[in-house]
Amino acid sequence: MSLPPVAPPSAPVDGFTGMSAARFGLYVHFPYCLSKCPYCDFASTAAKTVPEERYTRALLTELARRAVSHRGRQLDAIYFGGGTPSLWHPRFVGQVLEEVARWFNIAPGAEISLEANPGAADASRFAGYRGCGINRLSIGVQSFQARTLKALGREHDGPQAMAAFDAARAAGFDNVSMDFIYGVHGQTLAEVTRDAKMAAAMGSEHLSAYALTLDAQSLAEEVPLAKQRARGEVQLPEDEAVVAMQRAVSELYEREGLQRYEISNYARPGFHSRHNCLYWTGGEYLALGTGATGFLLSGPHEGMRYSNHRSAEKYLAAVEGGLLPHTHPEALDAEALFNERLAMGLRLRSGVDVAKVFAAYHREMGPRKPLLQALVNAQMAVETHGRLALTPQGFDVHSAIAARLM
Amino acid sequence: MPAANEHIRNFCIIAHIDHGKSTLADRLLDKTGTVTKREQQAQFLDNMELERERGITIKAQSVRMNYTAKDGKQYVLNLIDTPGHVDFAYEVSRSLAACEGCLLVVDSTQGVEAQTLANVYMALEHNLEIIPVINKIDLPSADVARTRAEIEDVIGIDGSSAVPASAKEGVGIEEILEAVVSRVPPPKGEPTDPLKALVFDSWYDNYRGVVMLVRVLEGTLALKQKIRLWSNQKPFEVQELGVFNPFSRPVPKLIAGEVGVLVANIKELVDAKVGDTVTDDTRPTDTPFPGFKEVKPMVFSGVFPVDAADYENLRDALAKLRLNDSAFTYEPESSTALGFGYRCGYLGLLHMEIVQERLEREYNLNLITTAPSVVYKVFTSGGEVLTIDNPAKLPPTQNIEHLEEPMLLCHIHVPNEHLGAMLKLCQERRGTQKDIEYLGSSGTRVKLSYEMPLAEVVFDFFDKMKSLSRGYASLDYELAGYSTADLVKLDILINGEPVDALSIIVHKERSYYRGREVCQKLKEVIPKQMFEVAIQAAIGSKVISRETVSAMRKNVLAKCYGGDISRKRKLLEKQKEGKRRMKQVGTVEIPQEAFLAVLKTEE
Repeated sequence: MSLPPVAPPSAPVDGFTGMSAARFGLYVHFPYCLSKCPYCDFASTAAKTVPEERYTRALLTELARRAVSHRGRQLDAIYFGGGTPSLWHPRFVGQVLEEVARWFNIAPGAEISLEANPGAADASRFAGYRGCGINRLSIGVQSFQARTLKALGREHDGPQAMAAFDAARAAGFDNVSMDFIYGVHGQTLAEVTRDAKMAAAMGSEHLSAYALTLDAQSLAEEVPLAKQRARGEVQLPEDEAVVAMQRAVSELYEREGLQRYEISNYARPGFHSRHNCLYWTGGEYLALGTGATGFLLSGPHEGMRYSNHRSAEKYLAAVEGGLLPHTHPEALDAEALFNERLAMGLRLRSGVDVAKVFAAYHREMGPRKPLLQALVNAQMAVETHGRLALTPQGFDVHSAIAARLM
Repeated sequence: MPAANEHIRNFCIIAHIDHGKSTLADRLLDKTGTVTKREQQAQFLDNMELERERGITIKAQSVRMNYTAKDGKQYVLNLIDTPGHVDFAYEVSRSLAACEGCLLVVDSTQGVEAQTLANVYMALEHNLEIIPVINKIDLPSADVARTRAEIEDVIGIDGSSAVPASAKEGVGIEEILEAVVSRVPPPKGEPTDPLKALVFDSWYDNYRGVVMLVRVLEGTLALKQKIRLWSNQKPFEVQELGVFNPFSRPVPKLIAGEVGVLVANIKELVDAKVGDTVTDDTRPTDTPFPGFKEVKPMVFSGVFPVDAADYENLRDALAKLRLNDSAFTYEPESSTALGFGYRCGYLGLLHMEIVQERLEREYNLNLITTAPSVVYKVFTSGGEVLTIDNPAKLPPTQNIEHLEEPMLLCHIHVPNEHLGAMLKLCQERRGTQKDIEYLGSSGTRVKLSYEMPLAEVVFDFFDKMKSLSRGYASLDYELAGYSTADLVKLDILINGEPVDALSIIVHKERSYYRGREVCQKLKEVIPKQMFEVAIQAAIGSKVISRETVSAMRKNVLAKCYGGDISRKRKLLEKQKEGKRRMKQVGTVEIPQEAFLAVLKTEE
């Protein structure tokens, strides 16, 4: 028996990449977790009892402060990230969504995601989330293998994760994503392949697969695993092995109809994340909550990015004290915006219209032409629909390519 | 009546690096009240930042001290500082020629170090009175008796005459001053004779033009006097005379035996060369000071800005540097790989490093220096003779009848125990033995004379010689014409494209070895790139060696969402900044040090 086709979310199409991606989104951060994962650098606070009400109140206060200058604007996507947003009672999530709807015009077909932990308690809330308007669930599975989960300090197990997925379906989620991590210390290629096979077989619309990153420069804060690695207690697989894992995962997913649309993201046709795509296409996003980062344009070549306090206490104190919970927003000039547009666009399988980006920010493309040609000659990139798109080999060295084209 | 210069003593200090020359000089200035406490600045004489850092003296200095000796008489002591490296051997010899005596500083914890020996021999050649000073006797490991014995044995002068001292603690300073007064002979020369003064250093001063340091040998230099420089016979008028004690102080005249500063409205440093003789325009001397030579660059290398936009700044910096360093030359050069730059000439490798460091530091330039080359004579099949100081300019092999390279006659002093290693080194460097002579009563020292190609000597021979003899060998050399040699041009190809700036001229017999070595070295210094990089060494069209820099495997940020894109962008911007310090040759990024990699040989 075949299921009736489900309708993917909708969003405008970005002219530089051809991706349907939110142009204006809202990110809501929920910082609380039951325990801290030793690899996670997102703003999170381990708490036995979560001050849900107090946090909701503060968040709504911040919303009112930030939304006032955007009243009535169309919102293409909403994303609840964390932390562990599935520790936030659907009642409060619903309250936030209602309030958001009062300030903004939530587009019909807007993708509204929530990150969920694959624990039993979390799964019991899925129907509640679906009921209050969440239409996409992103489950942080990371792995089905006990060994890998242990290495990552995760508290759930494989069967729980599968149960969580089933619970999501049962709750009516027809757009579900699962996150996986590979390149974990002690992990073998066979284990990575097994995870990928199981994930693909479950039939989710979207999968993310991230190489474990412990490199200090790339992380927002020093994480326990990185310290252990510095002390030599933990050794990550060699680059060569990590690349092999990546290849195994992407080949398997692609065979199963999940297209690699971004370096670490895979989706069935139409189910790429409209919200996450806004980060790769220069979209604007308002951000609320602890450690959340927002980005707003004030002109075609001028923008501002702010980051809220990373400590929940500090965040609450600021908002309750009548202050905006951020300091020192970053002004972005044409050069910064150009660099981001180019580098982020190259993360996408669709590629990015390099000539258009250069022209839009008044940059001279001539000096980059030999490199562009060399990339194509070396099969690190292809030209498609007037866009330059990196190949899997190109994705492996995306940073090096972006740094040279910038 | 005593002679007018009876009270003058001219002396210098010879010491190994770290044996305390500068500290001793400071103590002498201190003891004679030349420098007050307030003016005292550690190591007064080394006044160039670079000199102080490297612990070497590049420019000569002189300081006049007044001293009342135990005999109750007043003396004028002129301390003449000397440069301290084989590249500047000629300048050293001119400084020594301005003295009658020298202090030889020996570290009582280290003993005699060979680096000083070349200068000691030079001092002996100039008939200087040598006063050994056994320094650092305050240290627990000091061994004065053994040091005395070594002075006798290694240098061959009376060890009992050595003065024990500690410059750091101020011990023995008076004894040293007394020894200078009693043992260094007063200068000869009559103030009334025709003027004869030796230029032993000169430099360019932005306000006064060329400033010369001179030693008056005969006659008298006076203000307004019409003088003439012997080498070019150009006349000038004395505008300023002075002495340093320690700051420049004007004097109306300098008489035979005195040392001081001479300014004579000379605009260009090339007109006031070290070693030249200053004489009176109307009553010239009939015997100029012997041994004048034009110091000419022996080694050439290309200097290019990493960023082509710096070309003008480089030109200005070179022009300024040249004002103060007449031994250094430059002319425009262009390279297919590196764009526009300059071909610069130096006395030797140290001189090259100093010039490069000064350009980068004092003028804030980011530069690429190519491997140094000597000047070859190319006899073409068309009967022409070309002089080539740039391997890239060598004509194609079929147009070359034969090549000649510059030769040196090298004199090496080495303790007997290191003779074997030294003979082997000279052999490897294509040397031909001319003489071998056992010195001293016990025959523990050997003087070797070898004819060797300059190209083999200027690069790392000096360092190799030092390390093989644990520092005890010393080197002195003179030019010995040109000699035919079987030389070939070794080209380096990066991804199949020859990089002109990496070409070197090598001896055919060693070309395979060198090709392999250069490729390996380049593989080490060229970082992994997005694409595989092939490094090949070729002679003519024949590839003789190949190395591959494999492409980088993984360079990507896995996770890039959550909004904090600034962090990711900054990482990329940093990576981009790092690339700027490299030279883009085709699609390959080559770091600065790669262009000198051909120099660094590890045998």
